[in-house]
Amino acid sequence: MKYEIAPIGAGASRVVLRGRADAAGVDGIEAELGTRLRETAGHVVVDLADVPFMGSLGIRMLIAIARMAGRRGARIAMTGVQPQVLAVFETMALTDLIPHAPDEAAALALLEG
Amino acid sequence: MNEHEEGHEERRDEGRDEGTDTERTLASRAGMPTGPVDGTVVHFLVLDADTGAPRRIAVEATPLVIGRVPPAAIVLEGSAVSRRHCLVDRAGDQVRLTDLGSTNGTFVDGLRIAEPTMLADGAQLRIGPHTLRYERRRREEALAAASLASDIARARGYVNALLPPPITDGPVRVAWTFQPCAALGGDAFGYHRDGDWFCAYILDVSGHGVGAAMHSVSVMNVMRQQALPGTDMRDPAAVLGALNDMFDMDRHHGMYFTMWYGALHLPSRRLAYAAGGHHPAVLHAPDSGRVGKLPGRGAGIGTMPGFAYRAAGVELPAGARLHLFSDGAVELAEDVAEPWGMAQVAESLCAPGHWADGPERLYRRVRALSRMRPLDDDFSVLTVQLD
Repeated sequence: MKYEIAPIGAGASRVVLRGRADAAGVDGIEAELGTRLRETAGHVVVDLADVPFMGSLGIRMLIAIARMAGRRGARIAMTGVQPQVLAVFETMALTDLIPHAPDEAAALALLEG
Repeated sequence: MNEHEEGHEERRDEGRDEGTDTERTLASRAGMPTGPVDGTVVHFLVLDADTGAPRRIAVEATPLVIGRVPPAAIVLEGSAVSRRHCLVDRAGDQVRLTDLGSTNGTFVDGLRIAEPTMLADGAQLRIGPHTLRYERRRREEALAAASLASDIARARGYVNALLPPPITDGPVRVAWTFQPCAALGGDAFGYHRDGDWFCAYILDVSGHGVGAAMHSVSVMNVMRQQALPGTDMRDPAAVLGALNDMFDMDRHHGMYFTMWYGALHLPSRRLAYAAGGHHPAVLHAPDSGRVGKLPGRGAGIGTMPGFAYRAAGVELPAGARLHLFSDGAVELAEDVAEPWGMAQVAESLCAPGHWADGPERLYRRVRALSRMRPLDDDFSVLTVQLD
């Protein structure tokens, strides 16, 4: 699994995840991504368009990102979630914690609204 | 002795291991060569087990014949394995593999070997249907790996010891199959009868390893003792809510778990159920042939403090069967032979046959689809049969 972080304007960051979020995939990025996000201010938009599978550790990583953002008064949203992954998120009510938006602009509007 | 009694025999054996084995003997069982810790290199062939810990075989000075029957030092079953198939021996600081004229050949990293071949660390050996991995390690690393294997074996034994026995008589009968993966996947389940009520659950902790198993054991102990303060165990939403409060992931090393919980009122046959991020249970009415899912939308346990779980209800027909299962039954590797998911799991569990055979039938199917490779996750399936 791979990730990229980039600023979106002044008050938010975009995290793009790519690959299967299974145990091996998450293990390869979780610690480093966490460290980098701790140094990041503002809301976070997670782009999951290239994530075809989300296992329990991938979900745990998203929740950890959400909690980390919450502790500094920020929020996170997701975009591009593939249908089979969204079905898993719905079963877990994860969208109550991390809202899903159709695109980045909608996600930012949601977070700043 | 039926299959379930055999399962208990195995658990008792593991229980004896728990009480009598020292870490040293467990390390010895794991194939650790004897000798001082001096930085020297040790060599292993690792054979993944169908379930449980891999078998680690030390390659020392004595050459090892691999074949289908004794006196081969490493006996591998299967008609594609010759009686004396190949030989593994030491050549200085290296390990050499030689085919002994086997009918079906000996393969290293996918290539059939025609002459003695030195093995590189991590080489995959294929002998008939079996795959072995060659590892060379410093003795200190091997000791650490053996110690971890010992911890995992102990954790596996403890989880096994806490699982309830199958129920073979009465108005509610239960059969199950639990096949832990090598690393332990954090599955657990349980059930109990309380007067007119029968309650059952299955859970799956995020992640793998001893930590996940310890977490599942903690939850099992709470459920066994019905130690949820002020909680009516007949109220699935209340049970999940109480567990969610008790096991917040921030206080449990970032771990959460999914769970399906049901409470059946036997006189009315009314089932109340709720789920926290878990697969739906499957309800099967053999008399009518109807199959349905019992889903529940709810946060994974420990992920969202204060989440309000909701229970649903259904009246079960006479002779109904309820199937609960974990991720290991549904989520197989990407390269399985055919599409696999909830629909196929339900189809297998609800196929014609004796009610108690469903879990084992599904396990055999999953293993076949996975080309008999060891599974990546615990496999747990529970079938509840009503009169």
